[in-house]
Amino acid sequence: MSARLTDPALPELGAAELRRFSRHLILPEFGLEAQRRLKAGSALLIGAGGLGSPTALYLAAAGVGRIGLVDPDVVEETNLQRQVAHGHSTLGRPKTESAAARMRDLNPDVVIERHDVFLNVGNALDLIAGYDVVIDGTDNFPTRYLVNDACVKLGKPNVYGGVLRFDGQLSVFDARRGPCYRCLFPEPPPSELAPNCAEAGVLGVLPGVIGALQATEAIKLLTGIGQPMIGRMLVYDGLDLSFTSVDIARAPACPCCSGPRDEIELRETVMVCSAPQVGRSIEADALQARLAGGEALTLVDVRNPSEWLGGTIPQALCLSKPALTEAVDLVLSGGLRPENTLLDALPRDREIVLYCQSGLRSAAVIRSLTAAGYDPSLLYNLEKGFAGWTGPRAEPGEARPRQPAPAD
Amino acid sequence: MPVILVPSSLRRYTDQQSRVAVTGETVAGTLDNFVGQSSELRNHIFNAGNLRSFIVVCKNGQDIRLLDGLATPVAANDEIRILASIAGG
Ligand SMILES: [Zn+2]
Repeated sequence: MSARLTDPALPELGAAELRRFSRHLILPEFGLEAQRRLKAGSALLIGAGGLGSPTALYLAAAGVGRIGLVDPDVVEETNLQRQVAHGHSTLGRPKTESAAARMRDLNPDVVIERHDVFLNVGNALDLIAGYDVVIDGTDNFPTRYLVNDACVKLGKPNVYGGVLRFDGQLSVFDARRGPCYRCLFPEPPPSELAPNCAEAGVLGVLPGVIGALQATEAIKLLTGIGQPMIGRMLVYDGLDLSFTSVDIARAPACPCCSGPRDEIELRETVMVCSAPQVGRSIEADALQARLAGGEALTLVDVRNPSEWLGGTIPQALCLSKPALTEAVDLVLSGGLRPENTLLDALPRDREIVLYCQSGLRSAAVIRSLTAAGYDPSLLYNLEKGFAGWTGPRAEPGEARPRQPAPAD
Repeated sequence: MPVILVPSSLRRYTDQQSRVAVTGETVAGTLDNFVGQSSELRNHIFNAGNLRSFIVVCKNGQDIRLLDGLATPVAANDEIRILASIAGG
């Protein structure tokens, strides 16, 4: 990096830029050369959501010359609790468009390249090859493994951040100088052990903390200042308010970075459920037909009350997974008879269809009910959950979900 | 006693406690005592006796793969941190 210190190829800064970035220029470790390197540099943000919001805004404000945004989603109301690059005025608009407008308002000189696509095996190399630094702010394991593998293959640094509930993680994976993501975590968890933010929750400010740190690392990589988080992982606990840095190791037998780079083949990561499948499953279309035919089956929404507020299937009984699991535990421990619990609402001799948002939590409830003596051949899991439901919905206030009174 | 530092994704098994003191002379021994009677917790961390591929264990801030793995000795004041991969963003 030091060879570039007096690199005449670096772009010059105009009078307006010298004023705008004056607080950077007076930092002795930073100065004019680092600012010119930022202007010459480029960063690709994978995900313009919780983590991508602060990184996009801070990198644009800091004067990074060219920033790419990869996100196929549009802004939804539930995003605004943490995705502060967006706002009410951009609900329903592509996230890349919404974030780009805020970034341009902070720094009209930044070149913004919008990619309204899912990163996939077919486009990852082409997209990533065009940038100096990659910032992983995605919300799912398959994309994280794809970002890692493409970065290792192309020799790009990957500024990794992950958040869930109150926990955050941050590292810089650069296989040329240290471990990659697969050195640390070779495979994703089985899906039943891998809740996402929609299912497990996330404190809204948490991605702000981790995303701002990702922006810090990206700026350090682009300018060559400081010590990047290579070979280390920062672990943040928002409840205890602790930041801990741990030393992480390169895996000699890493499935990605231990062999020659040009032999790495990108492949799709499929999340698999390792828990034994219990009960039966039903597709949304089939359920819709049976409900339309007036069949007497019991339908149960096992999501949380906050999710019921966003709409349910009209005929559904709303019994959350925690409440049902607690009832099963009470029955199994001999503490209560089934008819004195929520289970009283669930007939043992008739078909019951259960659903959650994706099908994971309802599968777990089916396992619990089976343990409590229900016949698994009468228990159905709605495939793809409420997320895959295209039939009629009871919106809040329109049709109140039926909820039995909790047992004493 | 050594202390296990528990990530929030595992705290439903520990009454939401972030620090659990357990006995043990090696990382394997302390983890074994930590998972104790909970087959669910054991299943979350181990698969056929090996650490699962989305779990990393550190002793005093160092990945145990930089030390002696599960056989790494543990002393009374050591901190054993469990890291689980998280994908939220
Ligand atoms: Zn690796």
